[in-house]
Amino acid sequence: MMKIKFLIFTLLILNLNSCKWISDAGTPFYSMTGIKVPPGTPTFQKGFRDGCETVTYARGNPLYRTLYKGYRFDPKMIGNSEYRFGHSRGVSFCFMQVITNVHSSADNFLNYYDPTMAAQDYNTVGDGLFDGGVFSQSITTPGNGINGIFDVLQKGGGGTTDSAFTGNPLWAGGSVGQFFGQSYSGTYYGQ
Amino acid sequence: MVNKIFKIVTFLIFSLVLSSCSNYWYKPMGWVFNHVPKEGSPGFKLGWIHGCESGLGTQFGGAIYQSFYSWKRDPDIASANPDYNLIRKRYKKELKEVNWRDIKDIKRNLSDYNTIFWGGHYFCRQVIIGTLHTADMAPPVADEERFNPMAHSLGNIFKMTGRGDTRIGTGLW
Repeated sequence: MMKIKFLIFTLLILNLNSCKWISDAGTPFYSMTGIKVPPGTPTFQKGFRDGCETVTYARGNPLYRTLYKGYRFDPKMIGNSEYRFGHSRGVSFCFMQVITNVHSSADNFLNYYDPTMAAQDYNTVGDGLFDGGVFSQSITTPGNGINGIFDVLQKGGGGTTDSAFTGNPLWAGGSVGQFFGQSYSGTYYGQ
Repeated sequence: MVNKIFKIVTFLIFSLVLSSCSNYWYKPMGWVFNHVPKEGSPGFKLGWIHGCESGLGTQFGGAIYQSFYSWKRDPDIASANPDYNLIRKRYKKELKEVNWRDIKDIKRNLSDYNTIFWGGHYFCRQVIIGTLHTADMAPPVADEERFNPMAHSLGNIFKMTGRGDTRIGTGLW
């Protein structure tokens, strides 16, 4: 019995060891976000944090604008290429974080497929695929509903009429020598 | 009595508004200029402010902000062979702390100006489009569509239904 308990205890310890919060315990995170500050020198990390705060404030919603102070750039470090490298990396990384849906509010599960971060009526955005979504529309109407999903394969994209399988995308358009589907111009051909 | 309360409230509001004044308090988004780093050299601060003005004057801000702000980078400071006298006279107030007898100090300030210009530009254009997004306004890309004045008004920033809607259950914060 003791052996089984010991075995279970050992297994639990081994499992817990790989828990995310334990393995990440030593990782510096950017406060109040899930953004990791990448490893590097303190100067680089300072630049990264400053750049991250700058853009999180600028493109973040009012919640982030209350959490973060705004523009961050240490003027004394303007000649330090490492700091500036970190700053630009922080800006570009956190920009992508803040304009997508990575760290949003606790109720964001209510709005599960709207990546625009535009708050809308829950009854509208929560309709899913069926109620008002593509599955609610006719299956047989060309270019509509679930049928429309396959438009790219059938037509090669919006606005075109040839299928990717029947038309040559390089010489699409006919036999008068258009290149990449450029339209036939009578004036050009002197007609 | 009502009159007195009205006066006090008005005074308080004015005091609060004026306490966050920047040099551009009379323009929309004037408060954003308060973000200029205070510890910077005079050239740094001037470059940041010019960058910010230029950023607010881009399409990111749409037609309204473009009518208040425009491209501001000083071509004489950006020049490879700047005329120091010209610059000193033009920015008597802004660059008064520059030691115009010390070529190193002059060059450092002008270098700071040119370096941070794009930093200010980037920040302010992101702030303005971020602010517009909170009110569901997205300025159209040039040539994308005709500007729709109905969808863009300064009063929209007080709308509750934009990206900054913090009411629970309305979606994302």
